[in-house]
Amino acid sequence: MSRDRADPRCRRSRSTLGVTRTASPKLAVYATLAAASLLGSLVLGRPELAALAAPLVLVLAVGLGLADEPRLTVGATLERARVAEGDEVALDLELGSDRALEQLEIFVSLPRGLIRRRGTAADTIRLQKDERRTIRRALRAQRWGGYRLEEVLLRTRSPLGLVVHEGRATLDAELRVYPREETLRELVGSRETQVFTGNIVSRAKEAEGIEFADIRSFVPGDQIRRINWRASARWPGLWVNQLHPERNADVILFVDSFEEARREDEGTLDMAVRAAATIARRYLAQRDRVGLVGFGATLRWLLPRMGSIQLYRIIEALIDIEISLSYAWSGIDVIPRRVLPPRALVVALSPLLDERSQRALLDLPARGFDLVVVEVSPIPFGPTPAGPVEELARRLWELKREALRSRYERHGVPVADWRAGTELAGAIEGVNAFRRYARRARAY
Amino acid sequence: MGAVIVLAFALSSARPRTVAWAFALLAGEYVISLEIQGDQLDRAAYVYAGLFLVAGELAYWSLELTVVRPESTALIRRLVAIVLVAVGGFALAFVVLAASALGSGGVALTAVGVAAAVGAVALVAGLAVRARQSP
Repeated sequence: MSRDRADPRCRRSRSTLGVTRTASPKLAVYATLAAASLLGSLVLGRPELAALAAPLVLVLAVGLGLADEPRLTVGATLERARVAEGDEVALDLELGSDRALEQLEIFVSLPRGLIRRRGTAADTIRLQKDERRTIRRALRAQRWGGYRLEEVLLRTRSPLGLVVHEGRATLDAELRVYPREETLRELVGSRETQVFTGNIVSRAKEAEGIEFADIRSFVPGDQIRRINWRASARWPGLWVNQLHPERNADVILFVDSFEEARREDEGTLDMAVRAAATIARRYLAQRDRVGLVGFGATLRWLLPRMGSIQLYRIIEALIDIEISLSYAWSGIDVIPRRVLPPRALVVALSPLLDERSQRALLDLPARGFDLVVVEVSPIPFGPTPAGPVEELARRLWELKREALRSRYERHGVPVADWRAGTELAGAIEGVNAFRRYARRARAY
Repeated sequence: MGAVIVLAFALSSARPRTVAWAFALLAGEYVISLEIQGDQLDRAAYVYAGLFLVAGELAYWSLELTVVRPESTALIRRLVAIVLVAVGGFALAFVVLAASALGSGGVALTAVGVAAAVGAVALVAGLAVRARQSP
């Protein structure tokens, strides 16, 4: 089935399961005990053992006689293909059988990052002969990312539990989980702005914006639609509206994906992606152009553009960023020049763990880019020092990081330390404060 | 008594293989008790057989319930099935015991017993072969 763009639901997949039939442990035990009792009865001449075996034989006969193999079908649909972190999404499973099933057990294999809202890992339902029934289960998206629900296992037992029929079906359902927003009160102001018309940088020094500035006398060449008729009726002559020129910034989000520090379900990359999505949304809302560079073993980029569609392009690209091991050296040179337009503001989100990203970020101000670094601190994710030696090693590491920060600041690059559990707004305020202070220092 | 302790441990820790050994021990304990009482027919053997079956059904049902939680109607239906099977088991065991008490058996009855034993052994062997062949 093709995906309908207007329908946000994931496509429905339906398949008939190949069923395997296995003997339950109970069948083996009953058969063994019955055989042993009957043999024992013959050998020892004890009819009591034959009486002991008789009920077991009865269960075997009845149970195996009722153990017909069912023909199962399963279909899966996700309520939505895109949700935000922490949101819930419903998974509808349509199940059918050609025979009556007293107890059909359903196990959906969930990838890490998705959990059942409540209840056990499995469900059981009862199906009548030729019945199709839909069950709905709520899933919670714990972490941003792209997920694929691949498999569902169905299991049914014969009426007396002697035979187990199992089948596996491929679900092929995709879910994209968008990162949640961080708290952000103000943005980093770009030192250089440009004049835009849509996504095209204007060649004119002044271009028409949409914000009213003033009125002036009409001169030949002015557009008729700019005439302010109210003012023209009040004063002699024609008067036209003057608008503030549209001046916007190019902002490039630089997400370091060489390395991350991680503890359990949270890491520096998680924080960086959430921050990047939040910052992109805010800059795009004020009609700036935003691009993206995912700098790591796999290089990803998006050219800077405006608009809400660009926001979704950025978020989709962020979701696909992951840490992968690589020893290959990478520098700024590998990034296409169109991705880093001149005079762009580069907002780097990095734990500053990998030397390649440290060097690349130092190259940027040398090439004339306006750089700010939000250091996603790896310190909270490190192991807790167990003794004095480890404590000393940790302090040395922190001092080394202080020295790295100072090196950036000597080049005029503000570095804000952002730790897990604190607001991103605090880090951005630190960056802005540095830039204000740095301007005053140059004035002296 | 030892078998009961083993069964209790097996059910509390949800170990199907240990449950199997517990029932083997139960059957073994019964055989020993028969040998101790001599040639006298145990007239309550059908009761033991029925209770043995009920214990087995309840034990394996409790193991299934540790994996999944079925609907309440399914629970009731399974309970009814166990009761029916238990009644049938009691009845069949009584018939077998009564038949053995009526006469010395005869060739025909012995042949039936041998056939039943061979059939049961063949079933076990078939299960073992299929278990070895399955991936």
